[in-house]
Amino acid sequence: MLDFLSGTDNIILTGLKSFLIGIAPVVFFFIFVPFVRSLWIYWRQRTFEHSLEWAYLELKIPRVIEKNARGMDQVFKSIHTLINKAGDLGERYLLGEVTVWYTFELVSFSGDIHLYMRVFKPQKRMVEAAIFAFYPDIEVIEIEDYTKDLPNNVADMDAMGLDIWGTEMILAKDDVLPIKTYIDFEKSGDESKLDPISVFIEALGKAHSGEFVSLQFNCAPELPGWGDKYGDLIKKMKIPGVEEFKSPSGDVRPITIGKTKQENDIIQAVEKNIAEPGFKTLIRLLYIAPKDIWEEDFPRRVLRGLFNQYGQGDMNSFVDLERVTTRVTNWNFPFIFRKSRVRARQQRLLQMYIERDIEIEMFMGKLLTSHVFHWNFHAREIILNSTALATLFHPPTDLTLTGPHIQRMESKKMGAPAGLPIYADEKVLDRFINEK
Amino acid sequence: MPKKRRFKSHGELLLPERLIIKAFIFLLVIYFIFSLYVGYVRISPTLGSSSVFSRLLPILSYSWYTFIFPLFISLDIVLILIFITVLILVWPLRQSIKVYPKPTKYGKNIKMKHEHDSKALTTWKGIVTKANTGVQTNIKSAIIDADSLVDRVLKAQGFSGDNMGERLKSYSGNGSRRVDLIWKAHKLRNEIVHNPEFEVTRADAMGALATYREFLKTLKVM
Repeated sequence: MLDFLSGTDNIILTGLKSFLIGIAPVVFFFIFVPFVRSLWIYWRQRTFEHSLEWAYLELKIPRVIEKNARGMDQVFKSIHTLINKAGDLGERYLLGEVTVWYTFELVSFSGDIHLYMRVFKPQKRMVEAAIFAFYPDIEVIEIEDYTKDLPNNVADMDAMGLDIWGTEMILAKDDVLPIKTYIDFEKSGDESKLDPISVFIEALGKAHSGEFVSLQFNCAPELPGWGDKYGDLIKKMKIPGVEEFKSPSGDVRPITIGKTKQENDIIQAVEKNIAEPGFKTLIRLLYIAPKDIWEEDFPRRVLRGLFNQYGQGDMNSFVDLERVTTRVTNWNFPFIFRKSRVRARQQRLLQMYIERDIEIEMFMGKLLTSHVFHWNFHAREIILNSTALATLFHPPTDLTLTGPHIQRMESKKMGAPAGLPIYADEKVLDRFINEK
Repeated sequence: MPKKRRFKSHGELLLPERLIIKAFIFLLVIYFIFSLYVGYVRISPTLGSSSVFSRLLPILSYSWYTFIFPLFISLDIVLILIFITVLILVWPLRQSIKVYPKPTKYGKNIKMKHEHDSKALTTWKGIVTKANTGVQTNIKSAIIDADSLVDRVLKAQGFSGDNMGERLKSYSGNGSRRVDLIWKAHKLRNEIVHNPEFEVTRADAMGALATYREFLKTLKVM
C-alpha cells in the first residue's frame, strides 16, 4: 500500500510514511483495548454462569384461584429486590458477575399444561416465600429439569422425526410505552372481567398428542430508574404543540394547541409504566411436533397471534423478531443456503431454550458464538415492568377454564392449628431433656 | 425538586475504571513531555543554531522513536498475548452451535417423552386392581382397558394404521417381531366386546393380562 510513497525525493510523502508507521502501534493499542476487555469479561462471565446452580420449580395450582394477576405482580416485585450486579473491579473482572435471571415457563406436553420456574438455587426459599405470601394455595415443588427429555440438537430431531418452530417476541416500539396489562383487562365492572392468560391455556391445551408447545420468559431485574434514559422523550411528549395563527387583521401570532385526551392518557400511561420495577425480558416461543402431524400455522399464526391481545395501537404491542424466527425463504438476504440457515436458527433456538440463555452482554461473546449461517447479533432484550410481566405469566384465575388442561391440587391447604404439642409424649420429652 | 439519581446501566464503566483510564492518559502525557525534554537535551546541541521550528521535528521524531514507539509495541504484544490466552480459555465455554451435529445418546434410542410412561404405569395399576376384584364384569372391563392402553401406546410410538390390528401389523414389520401372543389376547378382547354372553375364565383373563404386561415391557413403557 505504501509503495507509492517510497519516492525519496518527496519529503512530504516520506514524512507521512514515517508518521503513519510511528503512530500505528498507538492507534492499534487504543482500538484493541476494548476488544480485549470485552473478551476478558465474556470469559469471566461464562465461568460465573457455569458456576451457578439452578433450582427447577413447578407451580401446582389449586382448583380455584380467586386472586387476579395482581398477586403475581407482587411476586415479581419481591423477586426484583433480589437484584445483583457487578459493582466493583473484582466483581467485574475476576468474578465476572452477571445479573442473575429468572425463567418462567408455560409448557404444554401434548395438551397437558405445566407452569415452571427456574431460579438461582440460593434464592429458592425467597422466591417460594414470595409465592406463598400471595398465593397460599399454590404448591411449589422442586422437580428435575424437564428439558432433559427434549431432543438436544437438530440431529436428534431428525432421528426422532420431529420438526421445530420457534421465535422470540419483542416490543414493536420503545420500552417506555406500555402494553395492555391485566388492569386494562379488568377495567369495566365485574361481569366483563377477563383473564388474558386463558387464551394461552386454551391454545396450549389444544396441542395434539406428541406436540410440545412452550412460552419461555427469561427475566433479569433491571436497576431502579430504568426509565430515566427516556426522560427527554417524555419531556418532549409533554410540550404542547404550537401553531401559527393568522388573525383576520393580518398579523401572525403563535397559539398553543392543547393535548387531546388520548395524548394525555399516553403520557400518564408512560409515566406509570416507568414507575414500576423493570425486568430485561426475553420471550421465546417453541413448538416441537412429529413431522406427520406438523402444522406450521399453529405456532406461526395462532401462537404468535395470541400476543396481539396485549397490543394497543397507540401504545405498544408485540412483534416477532424476524432475524431469529426459524423460517427462511430464498427471498431473504443472502438468498442461498436456505436449508442450512434454517437449521442453524433451529439449533440456536433449541440450545438457547434448553439453557434458558439471555442476551450476551459483550460484543466478543456475540462474535464468538456466531455461526457463518446465523450470526448471533440479533437478540434484542426488551424491558417490561412487573405489571406487564404479571399479565404475561400468572397462575390462571377462576375466570379461566383450567379443568381439562392442567393437573390441579385437589386438596385445600390449611395451616396447623395453634397450640399443638411439639413433642410426642412425656417419655420423648424426658429423653430429649436428659440426653447429653 | 429533589435531584434524580443518574441512570446506571449494567454495562456502564465503573468509577474505578474511569479513574484508571484517566490516570493512564495522564501518565502517558507526562511520559511524552518527559521524552520531549530528554530529546531536547540530547538532540538540541547537535542541531546548531537553527530556528525553533526546524529543531522541533527532529526532537519529536527522536523522542517518539526512543520512548513512545517501543512502549506501545510492548503494550501491543502484551495485549495480543492476553487476547490469545483468553481466547483459548473461553473457546470451550462459549455457546457455539453446529448446523450438522451428531445425534446425542438421547436421539439414538428413539423413544417418546417419559411423560407417557408414568401415566401408562398408573393406568396399568388401576387395571390390575380392577381385575383383582374377581368379579366377572370387572375382569372383562380390565381386559378391554388393557387392550386400549396397548393401543394408545402403539399410537403414541408412531405405528400407523386405522385400527389396532393394522397397528400391530405395522409393529411386526415384515415378521421380524413376534405378535402371535398379543394377537391371541386381542382376539379374547374382541370376543368380550362382541359377544355379550361370553364368560371369560379366570385363567384366560390372567394369561391375557400377563401378555399385555409383557408387551408393554417390550414397548419400554414399563
